[in-house]
Amino acid sequence: MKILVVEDEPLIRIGLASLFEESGYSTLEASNADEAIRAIEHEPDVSVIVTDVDMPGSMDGVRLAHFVRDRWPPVKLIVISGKIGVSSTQLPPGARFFTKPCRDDVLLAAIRDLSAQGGPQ
Amino acid sequence: MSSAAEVRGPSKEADLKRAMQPLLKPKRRWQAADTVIAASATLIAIIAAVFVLLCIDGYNTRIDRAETRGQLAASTVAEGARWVISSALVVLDGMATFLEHDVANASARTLTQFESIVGAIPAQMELGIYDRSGNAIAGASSREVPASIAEEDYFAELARGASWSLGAQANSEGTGDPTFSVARRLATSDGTFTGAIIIAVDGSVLGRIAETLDLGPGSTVSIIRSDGWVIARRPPLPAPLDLSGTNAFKNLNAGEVGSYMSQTSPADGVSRIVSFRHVHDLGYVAVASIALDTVLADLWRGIWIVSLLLAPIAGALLIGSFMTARLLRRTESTSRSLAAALAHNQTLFQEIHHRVKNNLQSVTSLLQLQPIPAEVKTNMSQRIAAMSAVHEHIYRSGTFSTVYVRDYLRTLIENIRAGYDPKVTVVDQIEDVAVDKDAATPLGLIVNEVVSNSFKHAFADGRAGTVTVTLAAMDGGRAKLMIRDNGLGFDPSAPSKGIGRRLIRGFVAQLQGEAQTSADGTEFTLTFPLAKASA
Repeated sequence: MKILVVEDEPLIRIGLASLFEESGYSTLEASNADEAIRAIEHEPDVSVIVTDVDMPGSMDGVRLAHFVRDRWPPVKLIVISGKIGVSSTQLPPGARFFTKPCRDDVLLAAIRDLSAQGGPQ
Repeated sequence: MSSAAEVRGPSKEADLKRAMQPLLKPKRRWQAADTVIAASATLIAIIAAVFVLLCIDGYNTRIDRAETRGQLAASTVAEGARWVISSALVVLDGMATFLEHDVANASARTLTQFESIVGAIPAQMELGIYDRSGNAIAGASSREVPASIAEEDYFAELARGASWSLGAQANSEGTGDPTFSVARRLATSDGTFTGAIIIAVDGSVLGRIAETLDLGPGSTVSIIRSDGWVIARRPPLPAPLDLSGTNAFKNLNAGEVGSYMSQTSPADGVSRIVSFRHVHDLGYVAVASIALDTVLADLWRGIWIVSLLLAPIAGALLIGSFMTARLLRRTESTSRSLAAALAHNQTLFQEIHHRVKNNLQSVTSLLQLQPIPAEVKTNMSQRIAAMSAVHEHIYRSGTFSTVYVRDYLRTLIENIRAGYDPKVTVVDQIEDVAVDKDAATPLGLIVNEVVSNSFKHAFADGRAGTVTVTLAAMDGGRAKLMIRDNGLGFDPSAPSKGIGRRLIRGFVAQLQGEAQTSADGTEFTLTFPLAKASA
C-alpha cells in the first residue's frame, strides 16, 4: 500500500514518511499540491494521501483534498494543519482532519481504519 | 483567517498586509467631526437668516411708517399752501377793487393801502402792479418785485384771459431770496386786458409749516405747480427748477395722493421717501419727503449693535466646533490606529500559534528520525500532542488566566482513544472546573499518561472494556480527578520500565496535589488545588 505525503516543510515531510515506512507502508513525497497531483498521475497505486494545508502553489491542502476526491474518488484523505480556523467541515466527506502536532498512533490508526474501509467514500 | 482561500498565499507578509489594508487606508467617509461642523454651520446660517429676515421686516416697517408720516405732512403742506395762496388771492381781489380794475389808478397810496391789508398776514408779501405790457408801475409797486414780468408765463396766462395765475419760484430783486407770485388779471368791464397785480410771497413761508412737521434731517417740503415748475421748497432751491420730463414728475402724477421711493432727488441727489397730495383747484402739488437715511438711521444702528453681539457668538461657535471636530478626528484616528494595531497583533498571534504547532510537529519528526524503539516514539508524540492541546485550547477560548478544562480534557481523551482499539470505550464525567493556566498542562499530561497506560496495558489481551474519567470540584477549593478501568490491572509497587510513572509524580508535585493508585492498579486518584497557591 502506498502513501503520498504532501508537506512543504522537509523535516515534517521526512518525519511523516519515516513513520509510515517503519510501519510497513511505501511512501511518496511531494512539497506542494502540483507535485502531489503529478505524483498520483504517475503512481496510480497511491491509496492514501496525507497532506498539510498551508502550502505555496496553486492549491492549498483543502483544495487539493477536494480535487483528489473529485478526480480519484478511491484515494483516502488525511489532512493535517497547525493553522487556526481550518476544520473538518471544509473537507470532502470521509476525509480525516488532525491538528499538528499529530500523535503517531492516531495517524497510523486513521490509515489502518481508512484502508480497511476500501472503495470510494 | 477562516477560509481556505486565505490559508494559501504567496507569503505570510502578504497575508498580513492584506489583512491590515482596510484598517490602514480607510476611505474618506462621513465622521462625527463633520456632523459637528455641519451642525454649527447650519445653526449660524439659521441665525443669519433670522437676522436678515428681521432686518427686512424692520426696513419695510420703517418705509411704511415714513410713507404714512409723509402723507400726513403732504396734507398739512397742501392746506398751509392753500391758506397762503387763498389769502393772496383775497388781497388781490381787494386791491383790484381798490384800483377799480384800472392800472391808471395806481399810486403810492395803493402801496400804503396794500401794506395796511397784508400787515396781519403771517407771510412776507410784496405788491407789484404792471401795465398791459408787463412793466411795473413805479411808485405803486414794491421795490422787491421785478421791473418787468413781460416774459413770465403767469403774465402771459393772464394776457390770454385767465383771471388769476401762479408763478414758479423766482428770486427777490432786493434780497435774492426765493419768492413766488400770485397774479390777478385787470380788465375793463368789456374784458379788455389792462394789466396785472401780483403778490410776491416769500418762499420761506413753507419753513413755518415744515417746522411744525419735524420730519428730521435731510427732509423737504415743497409745492410744485401742475406743469412741473417748483413754486417753493424748504430748504430753498438756489435756482428755479422744472420737474416736467423727470421721473419725479411722472411719480407725482401717478395719483391724487401717494408715496414713492426716490433714489435720486432731481434737486439735490438725496434718496428720499416722497409723499404728495394734489390741490387741483389751485393748480399745485404739495410734497413732503423724508430722507431715507433719517428713516433708516435707527435700523442701521440696531443692525450694527446686534451684529456686534452676534459676530463674536458666531465666531466662538465656529471656533468651538472646529476645535471639537479636530479633537474628534484625532480620537477617531487614534481608534483606527489602535484597531489596526489590534488586527496586526491578532494576525501575529495566529502566526506564532501556527509556528509553535508546526515546530512541535518538527520535534515529533526529529524524534521519529532517531534510532529509538517505535513505542518510545509513539509515547513521545502523544506527550507532545497533549502539551499542544492545552496551548490550542487556551488560544481558542481566549481566556488566559484560568482554563475551563472540560472541552480540553475531552479532546485530549478522544485523541488518545483514536490511537487504540475501538472496542475500548471511554466514559467521562468531567465537571467544567476552572484551573489556573499553569495547572492546565500538568493536569493534561497526567490524564495523557494514565489514560494511555490504561489503553496500552489494561486491555492488552484484546478484551473490550471501559475507561472512566471523573473530575469534580470538592470543598476547600480543590478538585478530584479519578481514572478507572475494568481491565487487567497491574501491581503499582512493581518497578517501572518507562518514564510514565516518574512523569506523573513530577506533574502531581507541580500541581501541589496528592495522587494514589489502587492496589490492583485499576484506579488512579488525584486531588489538587484549583487556585494557584501563593508560595
